[in-house]
Amino acid sequence: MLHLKLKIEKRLEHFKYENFLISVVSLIISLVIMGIFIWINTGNFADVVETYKELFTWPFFPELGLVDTILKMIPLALIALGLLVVFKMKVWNIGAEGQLYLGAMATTWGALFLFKNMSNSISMITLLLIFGAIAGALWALIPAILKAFLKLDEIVTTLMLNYIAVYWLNYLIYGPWKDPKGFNFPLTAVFPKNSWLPELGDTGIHIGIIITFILVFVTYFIMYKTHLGFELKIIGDNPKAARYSGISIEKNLIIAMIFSGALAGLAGSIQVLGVQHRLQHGFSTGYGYTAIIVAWLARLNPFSAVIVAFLFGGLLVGGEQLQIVMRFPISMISALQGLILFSLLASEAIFKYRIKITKNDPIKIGGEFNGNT
Amino acid sequence: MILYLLELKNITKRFPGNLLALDNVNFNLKPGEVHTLLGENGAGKTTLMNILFGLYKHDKGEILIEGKKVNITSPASAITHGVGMVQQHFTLVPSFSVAENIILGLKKTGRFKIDLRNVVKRIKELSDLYNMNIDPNAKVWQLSVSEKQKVEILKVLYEEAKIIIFDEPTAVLTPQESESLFQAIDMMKNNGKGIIFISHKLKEVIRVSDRVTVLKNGRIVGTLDKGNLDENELAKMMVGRDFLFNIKKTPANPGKEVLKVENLVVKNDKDILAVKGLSLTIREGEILGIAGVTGNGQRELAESIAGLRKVENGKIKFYNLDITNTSVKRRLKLGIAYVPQDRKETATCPNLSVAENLFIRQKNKVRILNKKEMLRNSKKLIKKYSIIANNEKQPIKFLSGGNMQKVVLAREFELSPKLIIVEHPTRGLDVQAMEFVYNSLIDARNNGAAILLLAGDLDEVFTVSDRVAIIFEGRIMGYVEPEQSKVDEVGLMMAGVALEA
Repeated sequence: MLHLKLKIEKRLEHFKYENFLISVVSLIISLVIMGIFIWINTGNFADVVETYKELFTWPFFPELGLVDTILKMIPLALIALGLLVVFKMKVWNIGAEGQLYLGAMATTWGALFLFKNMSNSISMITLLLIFGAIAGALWALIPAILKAFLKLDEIVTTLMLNYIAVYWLNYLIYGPWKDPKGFNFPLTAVFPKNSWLPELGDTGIHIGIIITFILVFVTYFIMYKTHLGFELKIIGDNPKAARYSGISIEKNLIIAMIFSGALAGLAGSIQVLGVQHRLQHGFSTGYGYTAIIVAWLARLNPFSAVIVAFLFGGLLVGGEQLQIVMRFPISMISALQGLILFSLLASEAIFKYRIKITKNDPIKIGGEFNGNT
Repeated sequence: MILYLLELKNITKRFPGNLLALDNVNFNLKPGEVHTLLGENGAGKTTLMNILFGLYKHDKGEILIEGKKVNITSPASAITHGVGMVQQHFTLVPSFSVAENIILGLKKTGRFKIDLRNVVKRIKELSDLYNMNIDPNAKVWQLSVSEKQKVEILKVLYEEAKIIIFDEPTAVLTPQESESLFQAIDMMKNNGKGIIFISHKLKEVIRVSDRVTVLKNGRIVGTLDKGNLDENELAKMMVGRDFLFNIKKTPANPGKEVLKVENLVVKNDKDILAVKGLSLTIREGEILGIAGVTGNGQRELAESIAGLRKVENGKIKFYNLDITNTSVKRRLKLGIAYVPQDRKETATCPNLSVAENLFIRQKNKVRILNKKEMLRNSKKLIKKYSIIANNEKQPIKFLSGGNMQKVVLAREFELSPKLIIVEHPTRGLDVQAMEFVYNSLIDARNNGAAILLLAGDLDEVFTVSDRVAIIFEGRIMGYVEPEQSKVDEVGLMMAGVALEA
């Protein structure tokens, strides 16, 4: 008698567009699962159709939610660009949310107090953006130094620093920075007009989008055209080989974290200068976390990161729309995001591995199975 | 009456990349004896034992236990066949007690409820029997390294193994602890167990063994009985000569002094001194071969010169410039190349392409990467060093061991180094590739490079070197000319016997 044995092994051959296909398939799977969930929830299949129609049309058409989608794409893309540089060297900065908060806080400090009387708009905006980027970079420098010199795990430290950043911001907007004319709402006063990011024509889209596109090319250049990018790649693949090649892991870690933090800080700065024009409670809907998914789905490619950020922006805007049209709770959207990431990881395993059936002679163990097996 | 407790017949194992790890190996074990497997790292000892313990499947050959053919497919089935292994790396759960660790994974302790009281009683008995003094209720994290090893041994004894494999058990022990381990092994032997002992430390092998089988490059070199055990003979068997190469070697013409090592002291990964006050010099156009049994400080010596390991004391000078504890980057710029022994773990990045791996150690002033030039140069190097790869963009992990090594050698030679440190450059390579490596080293020497060759293989050292230094326990025992007639002297020095000057 033959025994069949299942064996899971890594596939050696890969086909073209494999990564793209994995992303699409996982997206479809998650939508199907979510569809079943909605169907069960409302008991009406038409609701599923209606939901997806809304989700896929509203965020992507100019007269509807396209501007909103782009406005959400900007911070997501910026943060993701920074993250993919650190992820490349397998350093898991999950503190982008905190770095974003720091960027927003520093910019607010500059706009409301330090440079509030500046008359030249261009220099004021430039200064405030740099201010935000530096603040984000410094916030990211803390876990970078702790990891480089004390070997502290960056996942824990970056995550913890997020809470500190959030509560610090809350303290400021509930306390010293609260707008005296704000009817006691947790927000600051509106920034001087000079600090507002100009719009592109009357599209409603601020110039943050240009900054984003420039940084896509900068990131691409760093990652693929410089020795720094090459060194990050070597460290990510084999830290021992990096050390053997005379590459300082500590130095690269600090540089990459500063870059990552600066972009997250810049995203926070752009968000307050371009969208809200003030600092308020909940100014970020978890961009720093969503960008982790964006960077990952983009497979650490800067150009894909913009596309994925756009789609995720759409998902956020579509989600808001579904709250209005379909009266879905916001947690539904979070669930959908989670599903997408989950099925992405699962389909990666399915695509990259295969199940092999091997035939084996029957195994006799100490004569226990001598009977009629 | 069964003569052999265990017989391994014609065991052959091939690894991916067509590396022949074991070639028709025969091995047997009588009850009440200690049979040692001796050999260099990579000789196939551990592979053979992993086959016996069900971790690998052999391609050819059969395993007989007490005269009956058995099919061992997993460690669990090995255990039911009475085979136990005391692993080099412990597999204990720190927060569990000794008794809990011992019954972990065993099915004999009742279906639902674990009767820990009987387990504790039995462990106590075993521990007393072998003078181990282990408290079955102690938590494993409270134990010292040697106590943890005792727990591993108790686990094997508890499983009532008839055949017990010890895989380099003394690597983690002090001499005193080793001696008490040997006493326990003697007792097990007297109780009729068959012991397979794996080691490359000659002294302790002679202390503990009834028979010694020497394995080299996956083949049995020979078996010696207790009466004939002799350190010199064993050392020669381990590293002896078996091929003749076609090498074009002209007499050396040494120039200026390149490397000068003075009273070097270096620690190993376990924080124990490995290099203990070693001195040597190498000149331009000269190959200094270091002969010695693995684990006598060769690796630590190589790494400290390459800049990967901290020097505790002493000096390393390069053209009279003190480079002790300077960075790897600086040494690369000075022209110090290094071929480490583990090409997969240290010398390459598995997922990076062949082209990228050819350039990871390139130190340019320009911070911009010229991909086109990199690809063009890689194509040239692939041709020059006849590296077999689909193309230069293929990830290096898909290359065979020999071709991977060629990539490493190509990269290091292309640094146009003044000093090349080469560690086990031909491990796992076929004869043709070995010849290529040797000729490349000699070419580099003829072009004026100084070469430090660290090899476990006497054959290699004698084929390539201009001078041979013998290392033992972190010190140079002496120098010889690489002539066949000197092999006996080398054997003695490798075993730690100092020669009269």
